[in-house]
Amino acid sequence: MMNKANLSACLSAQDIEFYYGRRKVLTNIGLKVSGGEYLSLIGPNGSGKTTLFSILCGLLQPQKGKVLFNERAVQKMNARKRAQAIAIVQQSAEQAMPFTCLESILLGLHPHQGRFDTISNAQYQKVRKLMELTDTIKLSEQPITQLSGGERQRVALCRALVQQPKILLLDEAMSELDVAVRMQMSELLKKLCHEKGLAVMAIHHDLNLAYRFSDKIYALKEGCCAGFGTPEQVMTEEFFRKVFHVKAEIFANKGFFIQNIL
Amino acid sequence: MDAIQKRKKDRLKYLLLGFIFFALIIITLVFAVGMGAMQIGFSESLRILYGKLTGGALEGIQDNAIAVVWEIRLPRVLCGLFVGMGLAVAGAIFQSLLGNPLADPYTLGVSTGAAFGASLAILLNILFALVLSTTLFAFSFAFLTLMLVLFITKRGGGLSTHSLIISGIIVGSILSAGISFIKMAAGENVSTIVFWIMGSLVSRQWSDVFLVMPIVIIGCIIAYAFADDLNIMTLGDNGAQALGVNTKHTRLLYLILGSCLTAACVSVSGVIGFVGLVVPHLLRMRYTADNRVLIPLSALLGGLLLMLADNATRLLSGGEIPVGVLTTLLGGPFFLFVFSKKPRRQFYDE
Repeated sequence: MMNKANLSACLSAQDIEFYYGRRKVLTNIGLKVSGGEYLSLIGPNGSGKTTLFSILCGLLQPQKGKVLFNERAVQKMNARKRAQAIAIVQQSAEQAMPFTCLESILLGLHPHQGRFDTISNAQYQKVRKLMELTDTIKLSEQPITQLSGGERQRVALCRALVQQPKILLLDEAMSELDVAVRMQMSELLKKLCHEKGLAVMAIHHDLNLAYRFSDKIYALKEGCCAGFGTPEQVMTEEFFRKVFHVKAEIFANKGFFIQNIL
Repeated sequence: MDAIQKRKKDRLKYLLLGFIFFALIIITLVFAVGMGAMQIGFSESLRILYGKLTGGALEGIQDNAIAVVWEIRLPRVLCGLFVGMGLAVAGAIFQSLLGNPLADPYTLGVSTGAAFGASLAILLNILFALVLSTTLFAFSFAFLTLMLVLFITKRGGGLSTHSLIISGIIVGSILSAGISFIKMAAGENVSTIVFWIMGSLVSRQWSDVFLVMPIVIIGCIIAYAFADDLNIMTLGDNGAQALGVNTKHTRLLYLILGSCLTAACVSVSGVIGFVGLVVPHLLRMRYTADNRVLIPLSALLGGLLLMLADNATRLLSGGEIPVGVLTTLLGGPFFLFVFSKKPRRQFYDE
């Protein structure tokens, strides 16, 4: 699937500036994620997280700055090559037509398939393994339009893993999963980071999850960087007060407890 | 059984189903050219078709039998086949592309454009004693309508699904008002226009076959070739782009493809309802939403059904009932029956 050489896979953004019309959404953003790393992007609503993600995976063009995947400009990559390198899971995982989960997950193979290629047995085996890991195998016969939000998100996550990316971007991709499944999926991703050299960048509103699983945290506030480092370094009492306007109590190396709104 | 093994088995099943549909088409075709006021047996029809196709000798067969089969019945039967194919594939395309199971080849107003063109040609022919081709008028106006819809949608910001449907409806209703105006202007000759719009395959000629056949065959092949991209388009624009699909190009390709298919079919046969809506819908409900399977199966089943329906009109009423009326008359209740049998399995969100 992913070999040692890909451990060096790396996605970096340099001096990104982005405007929607005349409104400035992102200012001077620079960040980098490399193979084996789990980076969480946190910040209040409207801080520009999703916009930054769209720029990172080449869906939006920044007015200033550039995004590089292994020294190549993401914007200039051919869409197929880009899809082989970078996968993104969005919060809404809807599909308009009643594909079964299996069919929907198999769409993830598309960037690796020629136009008339059939799916090989080896590919089927990989898909089956990923479906077992994401616990979607029991859903495989069901039309995706019938699933609950959480089940759909698991299918979307599985599809992104089937895409075999070097970089996985998760935009609130676990928002509808229950707490146990969230932990289970995060652990799976962590494992893939360590074993296969996958790089994960995730937007989380669940700050506990971000604290627990991230190697690095990048915080955004009003389109500017509001902190970067390990969870312990970034998530301080002052940080919660300034960025999220809440009072939090920090327990060293364990986590935090949010007490009230300031 | 494991879902993946089942999928492999299902693929074989769909292939077999395709062959069955194909065989039924051939059998129906041979029967159809033999049926009518002049009865010609199955083997004799087969011999005539074979002889004509291979250029072989046709000894012992009456000349008028050959003429009836080859010049009169075969063009009509083939028109039915290709129109049915084209409409069903266009329906499958529009349903997937617009993410709406209720979409059909006529959603974007292309058919109304064709009907407007045909009505105009009929009116001008009556008023000025011209011999304008209704077929060509219908086709050109269908194409112009598509261009107009795309232009309006683009100006409204991008080619989003909703703006496409809305512009289609707006352009469609303006054109239907235009048709009403033309009908009024046609005075007592209005029945020609009304019959054309109802959709019929009566007295179609080889020239009609040669218009519709190449467009439908090429259209189906292209639709099949890019079916994976169409599948991925159902994930929404962002999802599709993340999987490496150029959504802009794919959408435009399928819009033009679906509209060309519709235009070709409508200009040859008038507005035949229901085939384009029901055939892909039923196949999707019964088998799969995967366009790689759905498009070829829709083509075959659509062609087969319209051929059968047209034969039914010929036999039952001597060609008095337009086939467009029959498809809706029979298709509607059948659809209701199928739909009410499966209420427990809700396939679509709404």
